[in-house]
Amino acid sequence: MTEQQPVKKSRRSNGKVYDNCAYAMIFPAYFVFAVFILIPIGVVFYYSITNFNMYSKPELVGAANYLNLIGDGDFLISVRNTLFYTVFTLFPQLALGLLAAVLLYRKSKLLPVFRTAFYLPNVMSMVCISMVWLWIYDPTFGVLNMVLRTFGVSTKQWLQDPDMAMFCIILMSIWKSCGYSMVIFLSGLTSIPDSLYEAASLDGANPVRKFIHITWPMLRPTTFFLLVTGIVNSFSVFEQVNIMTGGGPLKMTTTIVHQIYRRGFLEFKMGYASAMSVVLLAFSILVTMFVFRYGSKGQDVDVS
Amino acid sequence: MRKLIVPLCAALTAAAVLAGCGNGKGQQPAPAAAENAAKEETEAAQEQAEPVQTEKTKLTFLRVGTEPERKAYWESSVALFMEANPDIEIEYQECGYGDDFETKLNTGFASGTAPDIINFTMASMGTRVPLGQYACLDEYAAAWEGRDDFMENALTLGSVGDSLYGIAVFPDPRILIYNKELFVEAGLDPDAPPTNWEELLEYHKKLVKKEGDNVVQTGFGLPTSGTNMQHYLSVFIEENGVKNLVDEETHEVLCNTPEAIEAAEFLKEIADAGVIRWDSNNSDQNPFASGLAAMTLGNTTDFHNWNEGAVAGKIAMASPLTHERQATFCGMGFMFMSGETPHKDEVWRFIEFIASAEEMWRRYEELGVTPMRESLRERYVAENPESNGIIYESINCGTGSPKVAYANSVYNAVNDAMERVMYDVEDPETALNTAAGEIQKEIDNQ
Repeated sequence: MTEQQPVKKSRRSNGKVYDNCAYAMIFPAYFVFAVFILIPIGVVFYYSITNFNMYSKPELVGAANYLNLIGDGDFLISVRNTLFYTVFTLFPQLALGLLAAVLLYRKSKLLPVFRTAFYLPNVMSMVCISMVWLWIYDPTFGVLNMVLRTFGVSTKQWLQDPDMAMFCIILMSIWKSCGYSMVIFLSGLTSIPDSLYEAASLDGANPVRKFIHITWPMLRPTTFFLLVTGIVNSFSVFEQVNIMTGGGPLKMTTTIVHQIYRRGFLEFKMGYASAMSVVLLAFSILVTMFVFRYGSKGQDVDVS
Repeated sequence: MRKLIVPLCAALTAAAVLAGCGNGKGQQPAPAAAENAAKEETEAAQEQAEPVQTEKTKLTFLRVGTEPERKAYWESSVALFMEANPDIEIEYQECGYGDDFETKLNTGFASGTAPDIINFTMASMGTRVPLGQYACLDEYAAAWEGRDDFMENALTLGSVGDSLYGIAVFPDPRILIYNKELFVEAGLDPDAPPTNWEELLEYHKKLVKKEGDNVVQTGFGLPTSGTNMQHYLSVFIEENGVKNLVDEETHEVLCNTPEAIEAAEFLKEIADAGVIRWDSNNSDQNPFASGLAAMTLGNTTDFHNWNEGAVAGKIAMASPLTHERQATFCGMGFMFMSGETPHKDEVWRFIEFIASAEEMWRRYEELGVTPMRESLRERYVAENPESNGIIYESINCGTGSPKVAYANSVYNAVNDAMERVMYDVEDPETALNTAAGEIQKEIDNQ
């Protein structure tokens, strides 16, 4: 048996030990992160204090872009819509994902079929899904209105109705994403020891009590993960809005990223769009910090 | 050894990433550059020894729209041109109308990869000419044999100030199109379409069908949201004597003049009598195409497409309506030369080819596009006196989008205003005054 060579480490003047080889190993990942994420973020910060229009040399305008945001009615509407979308998409999606996971966490030959069926929408492109749902919602030839007509119910102008358009987008987004939540919850369920359920059964606990006192507490880390990633994803909602409604009618479905896209790429106001992006980034960080601060309690359940 | 390997790995990774980021022009790794230099020397020696075929100039051509029949036309045109000009190779690209095309072009110009030849709308000139994205064609047009034969209005529409920037290829007048079958069902004469506002409203009311509160058939198919709302308003304000949404020369906002407000009120009256709500961004939703609207505004391509769909053989064109005057909106598809292309002469050769009388007639025969040369006018009208006469009439009396740098803001403001009107959020006067305020703010920021 050969003797294992000790890892050669260098010692800095301040006494801290570091490993050159380890740094070399992580360098590619950090380099790519810096070039494609960190530096662009810095550039966006810079553009946000300029009047950059993509074609001429940017000139510094100070905080003007940020001040204009405060008085920009469209931007404020988009913030409201984004929050609305986040709340009404994320929680139902988590609830349905959890329900599907619990129902499908058992032994049966048909389970893989159901699991695949639930997860399938998640692997499909959002653009394709949006086009399909656009047809489903079509007021004249759409499947939904056909169903309503069959039952003698008056048809709806789904995406043309300002009161319903956002809910239509939310419904589609929940349908697409709850399969992902289901898969993550399923992986969480597999990590719960069977002994806990056996002990509960011996104590006479019914399935509901088992869920409330065992499953739900043990799934908190999984739920927390889904909550944080879900918030970040929901804040960046764009494709379905752009394809299905273009932000309308009456701006009832415009979101922050949709406004960034419109200002930056259609109105050439890249400086102003950058200021919106910075606000979105700050907002995402703040909400995530808030969730970490108040939502991560109870993750250290001891099952030993 | 380890000390050597670590920085070497880091350097290699950095080089690989940076090489990937490069645009490929003028950035070559040292060994590749040396190899190329050696290759060039060998080629130079070969050139002295034997005659060499000239290298082809490669051009990129981006056109707006994805209609299969137009794609077929453009691909055959490019092939014909390359056959006649073996020193030029053209790569054909296309992209859908609206925001997608704007985004593709914007990112192309921002990244230095803009196409050499662009087929796009008149509306784009307002924003892209001041940015230098479209090259001025005066120098080439001065020596162009076709200039005197070209339709004067088309040359005017392709100009900004006194300079020519675009050569018209696809005239795009908004024509009143109606469904004869629905006219007959409603007891209207299928050969007597409305000629003025009063008749339009009267016919519209007769053609509306409701089931309870739901409108299941409408008379005049009017969109209630989307980016084409401004075209509909433009038609009616121009018929009511207003020059355009804004005055290109004086930059006076005209969309909230009393005549413009009256036009918006008229459209609101039509909507209140019963319309099927649809978003003009999604042309599939257009109720006219499915036989649920008896009249609408469309261009020649729309007419052609609808006449092959659910309402095939039932539709006809009508002359532009008259109120204060006969008018309509007339957009125009142009050929533009990129301001950034290094191959201006070759680009002009292609534009000149596309604007030739032979190609124009081929466009008419394959796509039904109105020829833009005076020498072809009589022949064109003679082919189909009823429809082609109306199209010519519409082009002659048509006004296009305002060619101003803040054009996109004008469209957004007017579209938003009309949407608020259609959804009863604001009355026409308030909505158009708000739009005018937003446009004025943009003008002041120029």
